[in-house]
Amino acid sequence: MVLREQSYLVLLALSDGPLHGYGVIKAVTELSDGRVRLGAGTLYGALDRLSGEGLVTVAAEEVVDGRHRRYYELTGPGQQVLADETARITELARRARARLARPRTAPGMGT
Amino acid sequence: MNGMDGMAAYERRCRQLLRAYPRHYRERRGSELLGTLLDAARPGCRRPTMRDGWDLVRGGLATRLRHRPGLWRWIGYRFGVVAAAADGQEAQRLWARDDLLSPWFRAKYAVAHTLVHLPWMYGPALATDISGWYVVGSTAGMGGIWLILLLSTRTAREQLLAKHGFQPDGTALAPGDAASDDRGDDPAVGRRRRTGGLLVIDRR
Repeated sequence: MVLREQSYLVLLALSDGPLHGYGVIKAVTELSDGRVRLGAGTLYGALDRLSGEGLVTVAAEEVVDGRHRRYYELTGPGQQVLADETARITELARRARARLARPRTAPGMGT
Repeated sequence: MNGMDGMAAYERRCRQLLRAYPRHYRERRGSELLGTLLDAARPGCRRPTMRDGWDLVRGGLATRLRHRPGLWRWIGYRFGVVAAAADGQEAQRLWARDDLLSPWFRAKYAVAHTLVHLPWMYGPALATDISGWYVVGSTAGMGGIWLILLLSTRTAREQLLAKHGFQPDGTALAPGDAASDDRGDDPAVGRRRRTGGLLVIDRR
């Protein structure tokens, strides 16, 4: 299963333990070094998709300062998909580094 | 204008934007979405940024599209050919509930049935040279159909709700049905009742 970057980052954010919506947004921003800032609409769309696929589940609920929070956590299949996707990205990065490290060949001289 | 007023204005604007989501979704997830939006709000801001607002509207519309029945089932349901909009899928059953409880249901019901009856009412008059009294009779007949529709909408709504597994007020017929356990959680109406076993009384 190939994940979209946002879904991958949401799964990765949850790999440390259960988080509520805003916790996921903050974790994704940190993980992406500020490059990906999830809006609430995008986040809940991703959480709905991932829940539908059985990768994420609701761990707990609470009300803090009158605000309703649901905590999400990875399921077993979610952890597996995250590990597989991380291995795929790692392998891709390894190949990319090897390719970039090779000296560039002039046109027509490659084999 | 102090910070509390600013936050109240922010929350009000968020509630308006959350209307992009279907009613059943707002009932089940609305207060959580609102909580996340309030958590993520920058201090002092009175309304979500254009980007955040658009993100919510886009998310709401995508959810509406995702939960709609397919085209043919929708046509069958709207024109009374098939009884249920749901094809065994929970999201479509909830879509039907939203549709049936909508204040626009009476108008949709009347328009759909008018379109069904129009061809045979006026078709012969248009296809042939018949006119005059036939058209008057057809118009009277159409008036009668409208009257029947007006009088029968409530019954039709209740029957359709029952076919989708709901009571007339939208609560589930089956006890413990997750579909309506969370009713009253809609931030757009400013009250919250029960959420996943959590009782919260928070009248605004």
